[in-house]
Amino acid sequence: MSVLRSLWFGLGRVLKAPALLGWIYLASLAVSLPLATVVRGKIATHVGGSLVEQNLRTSLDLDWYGEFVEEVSGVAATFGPEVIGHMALVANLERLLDGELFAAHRTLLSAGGLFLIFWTFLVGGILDRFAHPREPHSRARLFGHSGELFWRMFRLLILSVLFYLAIFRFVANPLHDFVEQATRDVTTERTVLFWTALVYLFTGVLLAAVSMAFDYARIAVVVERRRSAVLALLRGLGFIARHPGPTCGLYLLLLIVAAAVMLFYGAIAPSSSPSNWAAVLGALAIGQAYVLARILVKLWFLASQTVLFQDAQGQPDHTPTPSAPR
Amino acid sequence: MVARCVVHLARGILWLTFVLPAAGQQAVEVSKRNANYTIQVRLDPEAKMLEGREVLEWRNTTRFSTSELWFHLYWNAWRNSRSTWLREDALRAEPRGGQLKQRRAEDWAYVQVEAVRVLPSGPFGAAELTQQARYASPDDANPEDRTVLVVPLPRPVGPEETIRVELIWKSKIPRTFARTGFRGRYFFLAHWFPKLGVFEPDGTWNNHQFHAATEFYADYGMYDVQITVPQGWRVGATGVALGVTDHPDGTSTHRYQQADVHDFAWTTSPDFREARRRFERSGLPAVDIRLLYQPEHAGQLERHFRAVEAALEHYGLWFGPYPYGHVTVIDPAYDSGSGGMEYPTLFTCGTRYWAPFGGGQPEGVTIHEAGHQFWYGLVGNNEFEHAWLDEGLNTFSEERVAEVAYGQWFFVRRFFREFVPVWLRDVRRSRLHGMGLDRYRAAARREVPATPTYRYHPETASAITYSKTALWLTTLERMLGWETLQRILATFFQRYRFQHPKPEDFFRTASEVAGQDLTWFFDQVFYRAAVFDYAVESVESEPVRTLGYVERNGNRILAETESGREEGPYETRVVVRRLQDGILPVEVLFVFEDGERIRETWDGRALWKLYTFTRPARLEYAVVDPERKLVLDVRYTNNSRRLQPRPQFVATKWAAQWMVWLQDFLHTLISLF
Ligand SMILES: [Zn+2]
Repeated sequence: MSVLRSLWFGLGRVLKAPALLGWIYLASLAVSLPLATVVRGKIATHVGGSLVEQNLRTSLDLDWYGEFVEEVSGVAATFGPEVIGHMALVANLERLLDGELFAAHRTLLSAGGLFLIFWTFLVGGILDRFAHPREPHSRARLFGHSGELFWRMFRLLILSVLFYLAIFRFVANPLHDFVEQATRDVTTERTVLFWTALVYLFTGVLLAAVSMAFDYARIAVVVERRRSAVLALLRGLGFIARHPGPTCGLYLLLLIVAAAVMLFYGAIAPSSSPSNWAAVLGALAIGQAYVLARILVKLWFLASQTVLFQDAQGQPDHTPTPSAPR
Repeated sequence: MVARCVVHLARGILWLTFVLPAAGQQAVEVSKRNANYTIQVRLDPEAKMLEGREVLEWRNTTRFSTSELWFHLYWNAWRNSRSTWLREDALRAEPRGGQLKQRRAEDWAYVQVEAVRVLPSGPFGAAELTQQARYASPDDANPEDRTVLVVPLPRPVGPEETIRVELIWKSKIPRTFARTGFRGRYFFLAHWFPKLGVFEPDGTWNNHQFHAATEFYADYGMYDVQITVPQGWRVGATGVALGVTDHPDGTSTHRYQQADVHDFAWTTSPDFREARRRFERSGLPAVDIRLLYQPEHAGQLERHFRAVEAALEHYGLWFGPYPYGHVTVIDPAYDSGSGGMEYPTLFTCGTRYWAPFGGGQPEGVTIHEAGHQFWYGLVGNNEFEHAWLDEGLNTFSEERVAEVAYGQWFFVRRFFREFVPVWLRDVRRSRLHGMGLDRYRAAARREVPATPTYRYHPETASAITYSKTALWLTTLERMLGWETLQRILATFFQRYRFQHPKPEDFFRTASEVAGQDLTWFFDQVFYRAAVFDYAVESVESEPVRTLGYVERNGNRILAETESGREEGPYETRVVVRRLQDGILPVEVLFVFEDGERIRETWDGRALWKLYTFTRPARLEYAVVDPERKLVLDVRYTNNSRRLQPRPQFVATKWAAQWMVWLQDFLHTLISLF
């Protein structure tokens, strides 16, 4: 059982199952493309025959945007400078760390909820695939297992949401308030910045810990066919407690990979410059490559952790499920 | 002894500065100097208290007598939640006072006048008036408000008579509500002494209560202030430092003097660092700039100085020179709430630990507050009633200076509780954006600008005072040309330096300098809450064709059917519309596919107008107000229309950006699950 072995074999299992990447990508596209079409329509209607179109070719004309955002309603109201290039990533990261992923616009709430349900549905099948890489796989098996495991995964989802809410309600927000009160007579921003950053870091660690525990809980559900969400969570926690080094080490390495992907995209993300069709398509392609890379990293998390879990159990990666034909 | 020598030396320098014009400098034109203060004040930093004694020497410059003196007791605005200031502040979506429930005992404020007496001088004998003094609420009759103190006099002060009054007071310094207050060992003290209102030429006192959106109006005079603080603490104040006297109890008294100003503010902290720079430009008097800054902003000194110099240079050249020879710039302590505020010869700016150059701060706020030395400091309009005369003129001037000195700022948003700035270099903020076009658009109908400012709704006051004024000044600039507007502003500045001009003074000066009656313009933008929105409603270009009867060779015949003909000439029909009640003449530009351009002027009065042209080519597009002179037009997108709309490209481009953002959102979400 080693972190690097898990990473290596985990990557192998992800790469051997490109269909998974495809399904998740299609799902994200299925949620976002129709909404993007709505946004496109709203922008097109607002711009209409106006000459402001010339300004919007080369940059976001903030004077136009001020008019647009005041007149538009619905999902298009979420359009603004913060969706551009690297700022989009920071904005979403801020939502994550401030617990506002679901406090966003109503449409985002529904889009996010829909995508989350889809993910919860598929995650059982995905883990089954990663846990049994040598067995024959088919779309029927993927969806079969997904369906079979859905309610268990759904219960884990609800449980994890409660944990996340508790983190923000009882830890992160009170800590931020505490820092504000405790530094009310501090006259240097650096000091307040330091403590605030520490709260963010701590929040991040808590989120990571919960996410890791639930990852292993899901893996336990699949590998050990557990039914109870609570028992599965306890199993996940127990696993982390018995193997703190490898589990945390693996998570940290994968987090670094995820951060590297985001930083790289942030550095090359096209801003508002594309001013012809080729450039727009190029920018879109780079954006989609980034989305694929994020899905890949997410799958890599699951696959590597599955390998680690199975290794620790003494289950070699070719162990079949009892019922599966050899 | 040493300290006394320093005081004498400094006094000599002050005298030289103010009485003898330095070589190459213009003589300082003086104000009426009819409200002169001599103040001793002591700070108790532990108890957050001030103890003060002031002697006010006031000369009645009107034709009327008065048997009262009216004073502002500003800090009583934060005595409790029932004051007029806090009641009005509560109307804001995000009150400046913050969450009042979270305030502790040490966070509130008050000022208690413990004694008022007339000192014997001229026709006046000594008189104790403490018992007779009463609070008044002339604006809203709020019995809980104690920001105005009326002192009845035993003998009226007649025209040109001078009375000397002594006031002794104690006050509790607040944790900042608005600019004034403390944070740790940083103190910023504005509105800190009982301050006389203005006895107007019509024989009435103009002495408003402290309101959430307005605060200043006072006569010019001489201030001589001795400030006692702990030894080793740096002090910044209005005026010139005359020296420091150390006392055995561990305190020091700093003495400051300034003539021809209408207010006095000061700050102290043991943590300030100090930097100096001398501003010198040919054609302008030199100015010593003293910057008291926070140690963590040591890397931003140059940026601060450059912004102050840009303001002194451009305001000086455009409107008139800054005459005082010195200015103190305060970089306030973090989150002290005292940033971005103007006082005579002293102002606060405000920056952040991370503040990317090009993002507009601290440069913007520094130019703005430095600019107030001109619009507010030197031209002393009644800010309670006509705040637009300082804030509006200054916002316009600030944005113009920033554009000339720096170009356009890029877009910055601060993330993670506003600690981390992220910017988009290729998204630029136009001057209109900087002036607050968006804020104005949202508040366009909320207030008639001619309403006295203290009656504005606090939530939308700044959109009218700052933004709307700056925007209509931009319209004047584009209508009359910068040279004319600059002459208007310079004439107004020079005419009303050290005086209290009213809106009509500005309007009269504008018409006079422009050489045309601009009343119609000010009627639209100032005396009404008119909203402007002109639009091109429809454009059509079709081959000329006639159906029905025509005369040919003396016979009436049915015109030939010409359906399907696509070549010219073409008849172009354009309908332009006025969608709101605001009326201003506008130009309409028609551009044809062969490059021909036709420009028409429309008086903009009717609700719509049809333009018809027969031309060899089709129309390409039509624009109302092509140079965007009428920047108050709340929707400029509808001002132009192409015959062949082509919004698809930009819509796709931006929707694609939006989609990647949404996908990132979705994947950030599932990263937790
Ligand atoms: Zn201002």
